[in-house]
Amino acid sequence: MNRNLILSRKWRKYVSGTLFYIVVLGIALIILIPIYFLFTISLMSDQEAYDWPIRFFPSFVNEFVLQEASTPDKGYLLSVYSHSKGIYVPLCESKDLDTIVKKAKLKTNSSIPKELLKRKIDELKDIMEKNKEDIERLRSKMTPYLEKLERLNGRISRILSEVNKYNKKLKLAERAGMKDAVQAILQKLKSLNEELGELKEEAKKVSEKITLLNQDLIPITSVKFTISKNIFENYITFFKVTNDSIPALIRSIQVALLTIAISLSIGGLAGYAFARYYFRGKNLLKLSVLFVRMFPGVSIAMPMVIILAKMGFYDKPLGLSLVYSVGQIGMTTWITASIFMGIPVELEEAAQIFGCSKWGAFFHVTLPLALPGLAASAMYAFIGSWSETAQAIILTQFNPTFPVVVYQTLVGAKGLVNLVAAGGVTMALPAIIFTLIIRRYILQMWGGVTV
Amino acid sequence: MGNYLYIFSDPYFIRAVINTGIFVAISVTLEFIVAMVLALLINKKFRGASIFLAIALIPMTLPPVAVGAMWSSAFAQNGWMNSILYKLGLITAEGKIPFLAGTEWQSLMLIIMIDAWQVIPFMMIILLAGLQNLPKESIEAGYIFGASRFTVLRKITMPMMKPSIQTALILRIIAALQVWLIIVMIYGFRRIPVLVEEVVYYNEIVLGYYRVALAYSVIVSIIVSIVAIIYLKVSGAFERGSEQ
Amino acid sequence: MAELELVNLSKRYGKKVWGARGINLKVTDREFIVFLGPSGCGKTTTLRMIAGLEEVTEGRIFLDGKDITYLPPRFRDVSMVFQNYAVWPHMTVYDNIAFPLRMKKMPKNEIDRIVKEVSKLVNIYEYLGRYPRQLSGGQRQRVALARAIAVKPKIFLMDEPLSNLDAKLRVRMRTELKAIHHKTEATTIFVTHDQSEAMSMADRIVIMREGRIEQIGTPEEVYYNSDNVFVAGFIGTPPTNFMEVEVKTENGRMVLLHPHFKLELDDENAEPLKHYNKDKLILGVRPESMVILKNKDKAVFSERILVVEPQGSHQIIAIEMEGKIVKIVAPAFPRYKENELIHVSFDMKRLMFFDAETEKRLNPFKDLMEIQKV
Repeated sequence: MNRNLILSRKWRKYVSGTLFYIVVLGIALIILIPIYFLFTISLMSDQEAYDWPIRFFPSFVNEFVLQEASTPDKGYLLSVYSHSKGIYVPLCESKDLDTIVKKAKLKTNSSIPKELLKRKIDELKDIMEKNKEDIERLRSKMTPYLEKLERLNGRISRILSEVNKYNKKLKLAERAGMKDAVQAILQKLKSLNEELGELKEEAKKVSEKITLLNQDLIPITSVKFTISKNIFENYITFFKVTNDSIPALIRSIQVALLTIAISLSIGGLAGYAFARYYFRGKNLLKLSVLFVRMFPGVSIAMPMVIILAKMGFYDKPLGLSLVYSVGQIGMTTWITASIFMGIPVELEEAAQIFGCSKWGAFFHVTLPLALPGLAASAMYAFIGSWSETAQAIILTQFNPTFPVVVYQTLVGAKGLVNLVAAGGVTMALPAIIFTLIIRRYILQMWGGVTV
Repeated sequence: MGNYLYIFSDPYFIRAVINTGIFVAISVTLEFIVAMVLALLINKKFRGASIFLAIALIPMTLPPVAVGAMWSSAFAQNGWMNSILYKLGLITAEGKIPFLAGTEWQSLMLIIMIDAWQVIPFMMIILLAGLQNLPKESIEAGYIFGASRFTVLRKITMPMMKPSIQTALILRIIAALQVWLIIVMIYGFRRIPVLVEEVVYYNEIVLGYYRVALAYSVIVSIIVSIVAIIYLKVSGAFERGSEQ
Repeated sequence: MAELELVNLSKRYGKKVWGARGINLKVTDREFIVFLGPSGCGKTTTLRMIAGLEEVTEGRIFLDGKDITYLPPRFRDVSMVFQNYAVWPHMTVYDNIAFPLRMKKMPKNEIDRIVKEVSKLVNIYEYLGRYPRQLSGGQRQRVALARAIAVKPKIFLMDEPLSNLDAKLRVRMRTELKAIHHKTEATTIFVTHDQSEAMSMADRIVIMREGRIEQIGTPEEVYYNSDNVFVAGFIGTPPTNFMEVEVKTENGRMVLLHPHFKLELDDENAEPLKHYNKDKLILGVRPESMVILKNKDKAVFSERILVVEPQGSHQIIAIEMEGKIVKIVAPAFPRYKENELIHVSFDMKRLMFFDAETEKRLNPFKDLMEIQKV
């Protein structure tokens, strides 16, 4: 009895422990999976990114197949292996090698050396020369099947369009309430569908036959080769295609640094004052700091357009960083105040007794001790300024910051998904890194979670 | 004044107000409940807690553009969300879910899900902090004097958490009132109009409507200020200057 | 030579709150002065004014005749040991001690010599390379002490330096501090709220309350010759028992009337009360001045024991009179039990009379030496 109790308690503990970790792991996965996919997609070539289902890991190499084009005057056909579909998908048909190389690079992010291509073409010619008779034989065998498939496909598409037509008619008839007509149409549709099914079945058989023949044909009419993929190609392309992005990146960093400088110098001094001195209106000041944080950024930005234009800072990094600083100073004051409060006044007083002036005590004792905290608050300001998009959209025109550029490629042009992802990752990376560095401070700031 | 008349007679304004209202109500409630449950679940010391908390920090500090890119690539017809569902065997190759083609209501729900992804971990951390800062003794005293787990939660933990819950909720409401960037990045302008989105719409997309945009931003400010003042009143910040 | 003089030193916060008020004190060379009082009595404020950390509202501070009232701390030639050590956490022990010397722009080898000498004096020589976070509380305290000694100040200021240490270490550090004081012979002002600390270390004790000085004197003076009810109650453990009694004259003899007893005064005790014309006074009897007798004959009163607190070397007996707890210190044996009836008399030579209204002492002992002999 007693033993059973202990055992069952043990089991319960075991089960609840496991459940607990499942919950924790689940949350972590739900958070991480989207981030992971953003990153994965940013490494994918166009061909991979638009394949479906999307692979869970980006590939590092591309497998190519070179064949002769369907008609000799079109030159050569280059195909690339699709992991999702399990087949080689044609990339381009051309006589011009440069075109092939260019197209391959655009679609697969692999740059095929022209020399290699030339060599592979020679190899292809060689193989085909050697197996000329087999090829002839297999091709002649295949031709009737191909013709048959074409006929079948033609019929299928005709029937499909008819089905469509009847479907429309059916809807009209239903709406009009003509029961007899509905019946008739339904009858018709049924027979059509039956016919469609038969045809599809037949087409499937024929294409299987073709595939079978192809298996013999492919090795002697094509050459395979593998080329490594430049996985960071999207990032390069992103900066090339959106020609504004490099200056925008520089501008973003400028704005962030200016914001840090302004908010840290003013907010830091205010924070020191909050921490060390008692003065009237301290609470009111704290309250207004809080209020500024809650106020909608877009609403602040609107009138700022006029004010900044009057000051001559509109569409300039300095103007933007001024607006950001307004929002940041409150936060910086808050953080630095808590940092300075964490440094006992006695340390400064001791320095004063042992030969320092007030400023000397600050520089010799308080500043070195506050430095990690100040760096954290600088990083926090950096994240805020770096990520901010809403105000930047309103407050810039010809000189956008980096997030605005990413936003425009996403919203305006509906750019390629992998390019946007590359932009997104470029945005996210500094934010994530800084967040992880200063996570202890952020956790404390958000309410004092002990880690 | 004419600008306000223009706004009030604009059908998009009504839709924007309704959408904003629905978004704030559902997202804040949902996020709070889920976050509270999660916070209660993981409110203990465990191995890997610091890693877990670090991970939970990320969504909130992620730049909105990155979040937009992430989810627009997820919910595209050929996006990874469908791929995962397919690989898990939940849908067939033909049955891809057209996430972005839903009705306005469905789209709003999707946006709420995305917002929840960003906010719940953040909210969870704040509530967790509140839970951790509770004096342990008063909860233990509850157990000692014979209260069940649920009673302790309802009669001791929750009332003691009230200030931090209030703060978290109202800050969230204020933030939820201002959500627009994600919506625009995933659906474009005016698919799901919300108030702040209209500000940007009139400022950036249609030219010459700067004053309408300004009027809109005034309306948003008034709404936010009202909520903020309610918050300050409720939390008693006017009296004591507030630490939060 | 270091002589400190405080003249009418006052500190006011805002418009009404006084931190310290009219402090007058002369500290002679090599003296060990202790500021003693409950928290908020102004002892730390006064110390900080001497250090220059607190602005002086009124009055003057002279060090060796030089007015230093408004001098910044670094020019005052004082050094200080803080309650929470205030050892700089980002410097090694060596740097902590050397920092003040570097600020004085001393040559390097000179600094090195002093740091080593001082660290040996306070027993932290082997920790010179460590950071404060690697040290225990007691060791940090020694670092703070070494830092203060190294600058060879005219005056040492110590702000409750032992209060953050655990009880055992505190007692040991007391002894060490006193020994160091003998070696360095520096004038020292030591702030504490612990009266036994004050008694055991001080040359003279300055007892403060609500920003004012209540009494200045040697440990014996403040113990035996407490100036007022506050001092008598603050010095000594357990504290002095106070009883409000009526003053009457019966048959030409002065008598003190208490609801529980009647005490006839001998001439010696009656003498200082001759000119006292109020009907009531406060009688103060130290627990050590009460004697438990075997029989009732000579007892002042008999009472049942409420609680016995054995202390090993002695026992403290508590009885209740008129709703007040009265404590008696008795030898360890015989052991008394709760509820036992005891007969108590007073040591008539140690009775203290205080004015019922002003709480001032009415019968200061004329010759302390005399008492000590008895």
